[in-house]
Amino acid sequence: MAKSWLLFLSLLALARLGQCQRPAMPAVPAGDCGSKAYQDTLVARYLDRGAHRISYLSPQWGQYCDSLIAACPNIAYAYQQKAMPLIKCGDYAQAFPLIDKAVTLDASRYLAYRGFLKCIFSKDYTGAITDFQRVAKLKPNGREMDHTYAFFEGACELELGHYKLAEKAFAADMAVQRGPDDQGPVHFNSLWYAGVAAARLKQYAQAQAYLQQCLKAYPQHPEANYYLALTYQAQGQPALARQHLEAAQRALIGGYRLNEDNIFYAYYPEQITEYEVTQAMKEVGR
Amino acid sequence: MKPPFLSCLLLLAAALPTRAQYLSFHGGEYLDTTTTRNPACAKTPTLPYFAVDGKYPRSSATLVREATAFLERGGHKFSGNGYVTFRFVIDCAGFRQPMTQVLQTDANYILTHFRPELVSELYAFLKTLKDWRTATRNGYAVSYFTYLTFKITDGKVVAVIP
Repeated sequence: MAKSWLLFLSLLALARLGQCQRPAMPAVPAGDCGSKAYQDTLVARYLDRGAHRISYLSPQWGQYCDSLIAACPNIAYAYQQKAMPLIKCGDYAQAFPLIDKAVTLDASRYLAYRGFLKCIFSKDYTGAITDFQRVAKLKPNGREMDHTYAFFEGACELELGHYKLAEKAFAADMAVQRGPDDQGPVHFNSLWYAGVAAARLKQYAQAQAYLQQCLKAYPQHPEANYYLALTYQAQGQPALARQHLEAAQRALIGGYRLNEDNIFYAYYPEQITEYEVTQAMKEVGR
Repeated sequence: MKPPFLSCLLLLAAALPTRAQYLSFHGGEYLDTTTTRNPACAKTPTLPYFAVDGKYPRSSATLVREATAFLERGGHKFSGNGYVTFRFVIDCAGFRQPMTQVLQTDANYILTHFRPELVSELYAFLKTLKDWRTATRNGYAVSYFTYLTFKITDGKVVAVIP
């Protein structure tokens, strides 16, 4: 246990990165920080062959980032890399100024990333929407974490209770995925969220259509089964509701999740656990 | 053995709501710096919560409802916007360890302090959460460090993270 506290405190030491010495590395001849080639050399030295060879929870991770920033303070990636472990540990005061700096240096790359962090990590839905709308002007039809900007806008609008706006955003998200020939595959989580938005608007037939499409692509999707059950329950069909709640429960026990890379760090909007399924089963049983 | 009236007095004192008292430790603010030793966990490693699926097993919406109800029972009215974060360790048996760091920012992620009574109430709510997962790695029980953040808007809990 004492060792575990040393580890914990070393994590907390991340908050004091600026006071640490740089890792010992051979001196790099000063170059032109405006040169992409020179920046790449530094990134390779301090991140690829430095920070990325150790755990990002090690205090040394931040020291490598600081070394890179000291050598060239205009490399946005250095700030993003320094911020990443901080935000995963809930240290927003340290993390967000670094992300803001990355955005200032390279808005086209990091504005959407900041929007993603606000949407999924800090649940600042209004701030996330602002970021995604700004970046959409810089990079129309751009993507972040495998999704369109509209996908995250929709999730944020859903959480703000703006269901019509969420519906519109998910329609735009799915239109981009379908492409000009309207034939492209749509991500199952787009279908799930579109289903939740429709359910909140009490458009149950539409919600069920989206959620069933989602389950066709990913039959064990716990949330699609759960929200489909809620629509059946709302329509007075308890047998179907129970069937899908049982499917959701089996899926969660079996380890099935949303299949998003970042669910290990934070719950996504509208994500559920076994507890919510159990509670819904009690409601259906009444 | 303590006299019965003294035991009652101590129990009563423990149950009374108190203002959060921040303890400075290792450059941070803590609500509790007590370290405990569960012999069963003495030799287990401590991993980050995200390596062991250690998020508290309730959705954000459920925790918001429960935290809101808890605050309402306290009868206080609060104000302010931002984040109150508690960081702590769950031991290999699934028990939250008392040592708890507190971080507070406003809605723009600038360091701030909310009313100590609000922090105290949120901390009291945190203490009611008893369903932390027990984590294993390669078949062995492990401890993990984790956090719980309360997003506050107009003095109300609107999201619980992660």
